[in-house]
Amino acid sequence: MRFFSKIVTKKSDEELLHSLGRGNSSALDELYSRYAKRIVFYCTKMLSDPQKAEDIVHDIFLKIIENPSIVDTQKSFSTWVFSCAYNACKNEYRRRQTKEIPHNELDEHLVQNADFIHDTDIALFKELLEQSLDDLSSEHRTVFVLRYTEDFSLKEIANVTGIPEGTVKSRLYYAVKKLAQQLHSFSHYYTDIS
Amino acid sequence: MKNIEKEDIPELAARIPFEQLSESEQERIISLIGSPQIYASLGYSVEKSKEILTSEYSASPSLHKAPAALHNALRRRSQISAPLLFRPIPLYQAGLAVAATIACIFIMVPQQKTTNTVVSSLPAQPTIIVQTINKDSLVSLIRDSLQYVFVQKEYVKANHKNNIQENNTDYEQISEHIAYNDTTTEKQKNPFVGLDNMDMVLSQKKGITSNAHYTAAKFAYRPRTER
Repeated sequence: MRFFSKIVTKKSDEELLHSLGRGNSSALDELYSRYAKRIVFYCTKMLSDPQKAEDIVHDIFLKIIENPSIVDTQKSFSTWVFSCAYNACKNEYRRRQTKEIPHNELDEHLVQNADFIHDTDIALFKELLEQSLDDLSSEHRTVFVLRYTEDFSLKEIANVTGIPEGTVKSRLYYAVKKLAQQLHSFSHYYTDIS
Repeated sequence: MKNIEKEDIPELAARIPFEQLSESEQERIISLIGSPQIYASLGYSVEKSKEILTSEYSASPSLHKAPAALHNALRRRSQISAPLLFRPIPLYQAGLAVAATIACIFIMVPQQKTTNTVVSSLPAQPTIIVQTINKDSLVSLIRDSLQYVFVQKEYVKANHKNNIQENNTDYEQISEHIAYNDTTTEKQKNPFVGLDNMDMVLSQKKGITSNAHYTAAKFAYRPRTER
C-alpha cells in the first residue's frame, strides 16, 4: 500500500510541516493529500464507520494546524499520524464498549456453503475477510491492517501502537491464523494451487 | 533459514510454496504448525488479504485537497499569530479605511490653507488678466472713477470740518478751567467734580482712610453714655 504514497514527493513531511507552521495553505493540502486517505482507510477498517473515520482525520489535522509543535519530532510524521489515529480508534472502542458485534446471518450462510460454490469470486472472499476482521480484537486488527494495508515494518507498528516488536509479531501471527481458520471454506483454492 | 519462528510462517508462506522449501525447513514448519495445509492456508490468507485491501484502498475516493474548515482554521491561526499591522483584514474594512483617509485629507487641507500653516505650498503664479476695453466701457469707467473721487473728497471735507469743531470746544473748556484755577485762591465749590478730591478718592479706593474721617466716624458711632 505504501506504493501509493511513493508517488513523486517533492518535499519531505517535516518540511511541509514547517511550512504549515508558517501558515502555508498549500503545505496543508499536500500533507492532507498524502495522509488523509490512508488514515481514513485505516480508521474505516478499524471502526467500520467511514463518517467517524473522516471525523478522526479532521480532528488530527485540526490539532496539527492549531499547534504544529504537537508533532513528535522523535518519530517520523507518518508514524506519529498513525499513532494519533490508533489512539483515536482506541478511544472510540472504549466509547462503544457496550456495542454488540452485528451478527450477519447471510455471511454465515455463505461460509457454510462456500464449499459448494466452486466459482466463488473475489467479492465473496472480500465479505468474509471483512467479517473476519470484525471478529478480531482491536489490537489484532490494528496490527493486521497496518501490516497489510500500510506495509509498515514490525518496528513501525511497534512505534505506532507503543508495544514491543515481539508482541507485534505474535499478534500478527494470531490474526493471520484466525483469519485462515475463518477462511477455511476457501481451502479448495490453495489446495489446488499448492 | 534454519531459525524459522512460528510468527514468521504466514509471510514466508505468502512468498514461498511449501514444496520449494528445504526438507529441514519443511520439518521445522510441520513441527511448529502441524501440516502443509495450514501453511498453505496461512499463505493464502495473507496474500489474498493484501490483494483485497490494496484494491479496496485504490477504489476509495482520493482526498487531494484539505476541506475549507481546515483552511479556515489555518487562516485564523495565522491571523492570531501575526503582528497587528500585518494581519489581513476584510476588503470592506480596507475600503472604509481608504475612504476615511480621503475624507481626512479633504477636511484638513483647506484648514491648513486658512491658517497659513501650509509649509510646502507652491508659489502663486502671477495671473495676467486681459480685458478688452472699448470706447463705451472706457467712458463709463472714467465717469465712475470721477464720481467716486468726488464723493470721497466731499466725505473727507465734511469729516475734517467736524474734527475742527470738536477740537475748538475742547480748547474752550480747557482754557476756562485753567482760568478758574488761576483766579480762585480760596476753597470754593468746585464745579469740576473730582479734581480736588482726587487724592482722597484714590486713597479710599486703595483702602486707606484719612485720620480725620476715621475719628469722625468713631465719634458718631460711640455709645450714648460716652457722649
